[in-house]
Amino acid sequence: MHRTMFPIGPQHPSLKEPIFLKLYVEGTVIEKAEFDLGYAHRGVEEKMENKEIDTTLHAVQRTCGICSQCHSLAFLNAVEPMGQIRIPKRVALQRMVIAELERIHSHMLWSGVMMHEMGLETLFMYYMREREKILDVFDELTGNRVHHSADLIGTMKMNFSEEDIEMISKTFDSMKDKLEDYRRSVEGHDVIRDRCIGKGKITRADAVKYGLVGPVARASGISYDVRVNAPYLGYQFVKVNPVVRTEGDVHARTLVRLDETFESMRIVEEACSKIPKSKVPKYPVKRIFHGQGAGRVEAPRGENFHFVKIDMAKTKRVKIRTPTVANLVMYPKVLQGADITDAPVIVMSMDPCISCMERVAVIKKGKTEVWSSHELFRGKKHD
Amino acid sequence: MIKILSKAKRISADRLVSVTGIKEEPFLLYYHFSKNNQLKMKELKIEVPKGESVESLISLYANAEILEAETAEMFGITFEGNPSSGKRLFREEKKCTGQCFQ
Amino acid sequence: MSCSEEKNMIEFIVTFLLVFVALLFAGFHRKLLARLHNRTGPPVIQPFYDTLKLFSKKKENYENPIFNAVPYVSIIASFAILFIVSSALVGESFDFDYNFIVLGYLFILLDTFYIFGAVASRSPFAIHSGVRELLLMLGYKTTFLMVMSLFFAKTGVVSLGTYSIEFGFLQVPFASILLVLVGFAVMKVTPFDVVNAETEISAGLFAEYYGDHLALLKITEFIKDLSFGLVAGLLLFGKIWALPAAFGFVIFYTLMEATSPRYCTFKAVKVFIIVAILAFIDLFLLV
Repeated sequence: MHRTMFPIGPQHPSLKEPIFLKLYVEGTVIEKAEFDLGYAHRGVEEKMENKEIDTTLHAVQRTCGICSQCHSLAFLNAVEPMGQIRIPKRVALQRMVIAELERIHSHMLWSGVMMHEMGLETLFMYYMREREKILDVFDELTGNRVHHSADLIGTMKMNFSEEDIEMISKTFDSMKDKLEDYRRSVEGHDVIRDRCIGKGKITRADAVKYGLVGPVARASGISYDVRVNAPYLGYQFVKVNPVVRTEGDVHARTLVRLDETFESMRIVEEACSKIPKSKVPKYPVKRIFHGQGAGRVEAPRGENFHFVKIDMAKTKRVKIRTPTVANLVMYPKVLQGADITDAPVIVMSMDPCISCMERVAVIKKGKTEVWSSHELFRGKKHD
Repeated sequence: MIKILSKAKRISADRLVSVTGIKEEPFLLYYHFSKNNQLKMKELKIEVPKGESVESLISLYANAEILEAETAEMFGITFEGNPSSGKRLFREEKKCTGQCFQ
Repeated sequence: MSCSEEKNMIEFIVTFLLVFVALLFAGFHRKLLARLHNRTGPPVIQPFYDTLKLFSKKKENYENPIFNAVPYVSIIASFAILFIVSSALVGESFDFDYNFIVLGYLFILLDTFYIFGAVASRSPFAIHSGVRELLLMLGYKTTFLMVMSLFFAKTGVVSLGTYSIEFGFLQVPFASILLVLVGFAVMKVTPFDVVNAETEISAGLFAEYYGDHLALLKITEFIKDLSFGLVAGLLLFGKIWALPAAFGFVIFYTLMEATSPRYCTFKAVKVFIIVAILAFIDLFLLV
């Protein structure tokens, strides 16, 4: 049998973002897998150095499109304790509502793309159509569909009104039946079960050994959810039931994400019923001059970690460790021994978000310099 | 080589969350660890003088491979024992390694 | 012009008209799929726009002569298929004894040319798709030949042109079901479109083709789909109903494509091997 290198990427119909997966294949079985990164490299961490904290927050919220709020919350969880800023209940619950809505739309996007990987474009279109309703809710609440930019240090830009909460409830009512229908199709369809059950299996031991996070870990039996284990913001006021399965295969990861969508809807409804009548504090709440801290949140893909160092009221260093980086080490292992047909499905089941995974930090000795992304790529500054 | 394995073992965490490098004099490395059932993360701060390498935590935490490799590439630090340390993760021109930023 | 010359002329015109019908059917398939997805979709004449656009692209000739030749030999083979089918419906110039076996082999030849082109392109996606097509052919192409033989053996007819049975599916119901199953692989419809699995192997066999080469190959695909629909319509429903039946098959296969994901390769191959064995048993019992 002849061993060949089968490329998935950097551009491939199954990949929504560029990553180069080199699959060394003997016949149709993958013997070894390697990955090559850097195709979505934008110098995000570098751009955040020596900036005002508000400017950094603005940049942090734009690290990724489908996990904008979770980056914002992780950053604020690191920064706000430095100034000992107490977050009022309304702000905590409102931030949480946006984060959970983001989880819903991210999982729906993922579900649609997963069905597309398996050739069922109809469900992809249906999921996208339902997801549009969540984006419309974001538009009404925050003024933006994708990069919500709703947060400020210690406060938020808006107060959710009774009409907003009513709109959220009506949107969920219009979606729940259809989502349950789609979930039944995904769980029960023979061909989907054939493509997913037993494929890309990650054992509990491997998940613990490699420190996996998010739905990937919860599908392998690890009940770790930052919202439950280290509750932050509004999660201290509502009950979160982590969705855990033990099979560890693609089917389990799919169902975990589908079930988390319903759990998130329940959390949003509970949170909306607990939002107090008080308004959000006026901005600015407090200035922060020095400090260093770490914050983590449960992003749609898992634990999102930010480390922030502030000096002279400017961010000196922002380190972002996204859940995709945490799970990246598992990609070659889970693909080894799999059939080439199953490779796109397995990769997609890990839910890679390459945009927020690829950043760069550039520290120049002594001087403050800003490099353009072109200069960053060429490795030198133009004179 | 700066040995940190024993310090990390004393922390006895479930997971290594992140490896952060900060360019100061001397160079700083921050390790963040997490125990799954605990609220606060544990932090380990290491000072790395110029030219020194650091012991890898890959024998304790398998995911250290990627986290240390990213830091190695960005800051030019060598993590002894990590097979991916020094390997180019990001598809860049060959001059764009940690060495050019020091 | 004598009577037979007139018939030949009509047959010739019908053959070329069928090329346009093939593109229209492809456009209708896309439109119907889009409506099932709850989207507007492209116009029904979109394949014409696509083909014209591909022909207007800059020509690229690669070094490999097999790679360059495949689109041209494929179009010749597809027209040969179309001439046999149109003579079965309206004429007699290609209506010789056992022409249905020649038709079956022409279908195999067409896919073999695709595989040659895929291997000559040296693209890992195209080669992988070629391997899948080879494996699948073991099942569905043999079934196609056996099912056609079943129809003709059961009815005592020896050529497509002389087949005048109305609603033949009532006489050979099991073979009719097998023929419909074969259609999934011929038309590359989920759950059996493993050859063209876009999200796995970047649209497979034609991955490296471009411009007018790709336009010619697309036309051969459309002709192949229509020809299969007409042959199946002829066998199952009769000569008069062949074209409406082909249209009905487009609707049926589009519905199936909209409601089913894709099997993995080996499962699809297994299904067609079983189908081939069943067709063989049916043929054996009949003989």
